[in-house]
Amino acid sequence: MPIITISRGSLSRGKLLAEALAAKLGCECIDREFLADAAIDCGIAVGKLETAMIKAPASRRRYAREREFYLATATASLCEKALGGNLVYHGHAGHLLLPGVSHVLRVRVLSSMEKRIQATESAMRLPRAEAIEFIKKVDQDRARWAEYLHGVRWHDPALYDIVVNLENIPEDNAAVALCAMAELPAYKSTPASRRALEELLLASRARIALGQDDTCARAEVRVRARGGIVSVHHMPRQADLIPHVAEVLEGLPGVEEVRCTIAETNILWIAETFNFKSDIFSDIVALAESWDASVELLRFVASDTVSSELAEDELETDDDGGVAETLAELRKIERSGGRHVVVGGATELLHSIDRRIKYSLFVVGGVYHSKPHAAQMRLARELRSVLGDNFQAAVVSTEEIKKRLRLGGADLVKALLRVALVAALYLLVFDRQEQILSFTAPFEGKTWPLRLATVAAIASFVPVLARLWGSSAARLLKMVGID
Amino acid sequence: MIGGELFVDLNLGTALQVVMLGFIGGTLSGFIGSGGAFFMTPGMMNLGVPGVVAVGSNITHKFGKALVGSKKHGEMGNVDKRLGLCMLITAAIGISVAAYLNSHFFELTEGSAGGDLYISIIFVSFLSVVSVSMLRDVWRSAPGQGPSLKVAEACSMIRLRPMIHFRVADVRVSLWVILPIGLVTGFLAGTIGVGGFIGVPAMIYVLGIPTAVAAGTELFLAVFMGAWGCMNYAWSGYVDLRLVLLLYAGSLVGIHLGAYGTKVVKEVYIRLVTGLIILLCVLSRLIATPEYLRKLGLIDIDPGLDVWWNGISKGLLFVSGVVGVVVILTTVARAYLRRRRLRASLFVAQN
Repeated sequence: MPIITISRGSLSRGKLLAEALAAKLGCECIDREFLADAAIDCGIAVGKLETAMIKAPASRRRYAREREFYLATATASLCEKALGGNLVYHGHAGHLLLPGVSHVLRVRVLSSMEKRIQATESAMRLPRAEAIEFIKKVDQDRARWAEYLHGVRWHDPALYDIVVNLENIPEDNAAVALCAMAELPAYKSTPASRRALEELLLASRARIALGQDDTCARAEVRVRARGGIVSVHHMPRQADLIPHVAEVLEGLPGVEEVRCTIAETNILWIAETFNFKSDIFSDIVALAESWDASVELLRFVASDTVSSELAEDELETDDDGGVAETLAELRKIERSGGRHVVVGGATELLHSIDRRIKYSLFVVGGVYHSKPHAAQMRLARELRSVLGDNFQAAVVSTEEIKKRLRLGGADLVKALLRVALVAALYLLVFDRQEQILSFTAPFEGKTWPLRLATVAAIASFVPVLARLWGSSAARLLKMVGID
Repeated sequence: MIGGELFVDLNLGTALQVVMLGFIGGTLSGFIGSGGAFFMTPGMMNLGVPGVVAVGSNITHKFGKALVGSKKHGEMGNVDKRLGLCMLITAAIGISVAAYLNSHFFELTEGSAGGDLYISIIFVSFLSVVSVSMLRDVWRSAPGQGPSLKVAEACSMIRLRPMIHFRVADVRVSLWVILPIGLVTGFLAGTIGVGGFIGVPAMIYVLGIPTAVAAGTELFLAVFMGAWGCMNYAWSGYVDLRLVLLLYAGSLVGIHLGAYGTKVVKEVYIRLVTGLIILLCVLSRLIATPEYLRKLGLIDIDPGLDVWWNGISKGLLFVSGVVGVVVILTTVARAYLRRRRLRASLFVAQN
């Protein structure tokens, strides 16, 4: 029999459906509170975490590790229950805690707004307007929570196997339908899906153990389990934690071997502002995935007066240049290599880069925003040059990342046309050289209008030819990558 | 000869040599911001082009080349037009003073020896200081460190109004510091024809301008100086348009390669190459002075040695230009291949 997870809005009768379903299946029914209690037992201040996530999204990055820890405890609790037998869970998007487990029936329950309002009015003794306000607020909070925890839109039907609208169907009827669905072969527990559940449990327990260890608590690690082998994937800058990680996990029940792997390499993205919706973000992520690299964000705020690398707590400002959001996106795809902020000049930037980390690429773009455009270009180029001089890794601009093709067909035609025009002018001059030189040469009795005509002819022809041939040469060189 | 004795007959071999001269001059110019004239003018004279036509054609060529070069540098954010225009004011005065003094020394002695000696003394005394200072700075600076800014910092203490903020170079300097630099640059351009050799280092060390901006701004300044020279020589009829075109064929490719070089090689390397080339030019001029001293009766040496002084001087000049370009192109080629490999890997990863 499957694990059935029911995702519901407040007072949408999802709880009633879950209980009816559990009664029919003869299995345990648990809710979100159960997961929260488990987290609290592990020392996580769940209430504080929820409030911070829902009410003050700006402070999310401060709770990044708490979030990871909470996810691990919730997953472990759900896996323990699921391994004990059939299970019905109702609450937020619980099924997202069980990735890779095939015998999970993911249900989304809807109810009409009117029925929810009536239920709220009667359950909470609220006037209609306040009941509406309450429902909207709770829905909004839940959406934020799901988005923060799992990076998904809670309402997206693509996240579920079935969406049940309880407007016209009683809960027990819906429960019968879901029971029938749960009998389908696709939702049967298999040795493979059970193993996946066990591996998830082991990985979560390992993550909890690391989170409860003083030394490893602040490490940014990704833990996976396959069989009894636990793999801890960490960022290059946290290499010194490895002996502690092995020590903590070796005594854990079910762990046969601990393998610590390091991200192959780091890509350091240096910019003043970051935008995870930009094309360059996608390009850098594609590179990171291709190279098995993590992406480290370095926010460089150029300043002549202030010069420092900001400490972790000092990073918490309202305007962080999109660092937090971009980092959150990187974390979701497990490519986060951390972040730091440097205020000052190129020297401060150089000092802030940890030379123990194996960087394979520095991407520099969007720096020196306070300077005029020409100075921006030059300073960014000089910064790349300084980085290139001081590190082995390749240094590129964001423009170079974007440039997949340097020259289009139209550019090529233009360049060839210009070259042809230049060749024609050269032919003309050399074919008529005697006449031309006779005109420009000094001779006795050369009148001043003729001299003036000579000056005008040369002073106008020469720059035109230089411009034509100069731009053609530039385009031709650009074709071979010299630009 | 066409046009009396002024314009040489050009065959394919001569034409290709002029193209090569242009290429070498253009590469030096793109990389260090100046330095084409010292190489191309004597080079053309060696091919039989009369001096006045070599100078006239070269300065006309410089006009267009500087136009293209400053545009290219401008696209890269290396041209501070405001700074260039400020320097132009006194550079024009400097050129006029130089022209007056040149003609005065030419008239003072019989033949050109007096004028040649005067030019050589100016050349050696100014540029030896510049080259030695640059090389000493390169030698002393730590890896990755920029040029010494001690003089620039001292000059920044001069707060005589008007203070001007140069947005591209990102420095704030008193106009009274800039005007003398323009004056000296113009004076040297008018006297020895290589104003950039003093203008670029002066902008770097005295004004604290980044090296790339100094080179780009010098090219911008050269547009106006070149235009003025071009019009003067064209008026007199000493411009060989064929030579100008042949020089362009090489120089406009070279200038792009040189400018690309400033993007991909270390900044200290640009200063090192510039300093070495200037030093070799100084040595070349120093070797030529015994001939002038003998002609003026100041020393007594065998006149038969003149050909040697002259030959060694020219040879050194050519060697400095050719070696400079070979070194620049080798470095550029290495950097280019590195970037090609990187770009290829980026391209593969993105697909």
